[in-house]
Amino acid sequence: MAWLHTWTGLVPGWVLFLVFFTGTIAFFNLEISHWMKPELRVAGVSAKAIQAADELLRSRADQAEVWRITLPDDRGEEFSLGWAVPKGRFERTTLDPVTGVEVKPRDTRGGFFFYRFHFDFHYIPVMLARYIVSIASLAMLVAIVSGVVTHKKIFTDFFMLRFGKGQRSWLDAHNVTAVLALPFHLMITYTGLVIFSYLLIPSVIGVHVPDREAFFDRSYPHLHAEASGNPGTVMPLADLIRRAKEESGGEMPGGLAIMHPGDFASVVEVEPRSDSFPSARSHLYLKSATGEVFQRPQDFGPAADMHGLMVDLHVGKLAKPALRWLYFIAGVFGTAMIATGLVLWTAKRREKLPDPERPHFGFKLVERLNIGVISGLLGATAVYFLANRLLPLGLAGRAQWEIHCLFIAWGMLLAWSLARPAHRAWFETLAAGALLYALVPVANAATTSRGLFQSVAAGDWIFAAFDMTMLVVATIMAFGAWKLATRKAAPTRRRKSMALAEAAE
Amino acid sequence: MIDVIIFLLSVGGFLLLLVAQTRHQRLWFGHKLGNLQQLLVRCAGFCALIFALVAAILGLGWSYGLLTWLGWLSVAAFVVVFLNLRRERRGAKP
Repeated sequence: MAWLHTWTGLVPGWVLFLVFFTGTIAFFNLEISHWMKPELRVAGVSAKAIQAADELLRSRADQAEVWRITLPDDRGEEFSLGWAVPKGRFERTTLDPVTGVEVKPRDTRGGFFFYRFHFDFHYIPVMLARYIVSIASLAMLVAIVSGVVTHKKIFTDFFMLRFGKGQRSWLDAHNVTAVLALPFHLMITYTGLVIFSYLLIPSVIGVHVPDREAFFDRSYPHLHAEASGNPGTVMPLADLIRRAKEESGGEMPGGLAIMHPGDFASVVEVEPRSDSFPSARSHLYLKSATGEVFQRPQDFGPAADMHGLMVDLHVGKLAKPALRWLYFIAGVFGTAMIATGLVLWTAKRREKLPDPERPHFGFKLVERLNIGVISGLLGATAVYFLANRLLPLGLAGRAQWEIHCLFIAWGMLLAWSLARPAHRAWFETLAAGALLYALVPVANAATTSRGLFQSVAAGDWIFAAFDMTMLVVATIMAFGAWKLATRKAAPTRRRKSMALAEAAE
Repeated sequence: MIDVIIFLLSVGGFLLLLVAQTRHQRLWFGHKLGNLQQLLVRCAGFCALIFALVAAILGLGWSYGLLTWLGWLSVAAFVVVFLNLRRERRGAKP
């Protein structure tokens, strides 16, 4: 079992680190997007803004096949309008939630980048990425179960964490991060696999449903409204929102999708707010012209409900602030569990190397990948945030350039770590990362009027929390670097004790 | 507010479970507990965790409460690990 745990953990370990790291960040993807668009503000949508949205859609998008309205909640989502014009193009604009005036935030992928990177990666075909992530997650599940079996003293060692004891400390840290958040690790891995069940058990499709399309229709049901070709009208937006609220027990909708506006058969899909739980499997539909109910949410049976529950649990949209932070912290535990597991592999083998000065290729590979992936991705993520503040606003393809900056920085950190001796590389990349994270709030304060002091004073908690999180990460990385720098005495002591032990024998 | 209650009950529960383990008792009490005492402490620990669950369910409903409880359990256990570590460090000093 130990053998199984070692190899199902190590081989996909770096992929799992990426997946856990970006997934953890993605719990705050809306908040991060908000921080990355400092031109926008969080406020309840005013009647005036809804009126403005109504006029804008009617004047600019009267030929559109669909209008989409996103109504923001307090997580920093924007008040945005989108419409699909014929030939498949989709146009979007953002309005100020109070004045209703169009605003042009900077071009960025925001926190959504992490959400997509979590299962789609970047620069490689989406489906390939999903297969890699699915297979790595399967290995993860095996690693978790075999880890519990291998870890014989799960209860007696429950609270054990000892520092400064070399390999033993890494094992303790790996155990503590794994065991204390075990319910989360199991839940997130299993539900993640359920989301990708259509890739992993494709045979399900074909037995119960004819094809993948039908599978998605059943899993994520949507009404496919057809246009009639006869002209019709759409109620004023404010009235539609009022009707949607009335029909969903007073809950403000999270968004509306008005299909075929201007057609006689036009219907409005009412999307519930993202934090409703359990989230609605099937949505409410109203007639656009009168606001009458066209179709109530439908029951798709217990299997669909279960699937929906698992997706809800995984993505955590249901979570209000306290639970969202708990998700985040548990995600940090998971990321740390993978990182400590990877480092443990080298810590365990270093002392047994025939010649510690010239380790074999496998050892060197793992050691370097650890530095490059763990420390490298951490540092590169800070560069993504810095690029958001520092790249010129008018740069063509700016959103993509922010992402390129992340990968360029990652590549540089990787190259740097390859060029240096391993322990120096750890120290230097961690120290560089700490500096980069510390610079994020500085760059924010220098380029916007929403620096940490202003945001705290104004009670702007998304900005304040973001900047403070950057400082916390910087501190942790600096602490790690400092520990490495002051650790020099440890190996000799260990060697001495080993010599003593040998002498005693 | 409900989160604070769940968290404090969980920390209390895990602290009791910690000191119910023989290996940690010398550090916290200077001596070992008797068998009966140890059993009582352990029961009290589990009770505190269950109270935390009850509070979570009453305050937040079944599903949301259960989820929140599990989240706070992880954080509370981590806090207890660090309290123990600090104590160990202090105790280790001559």
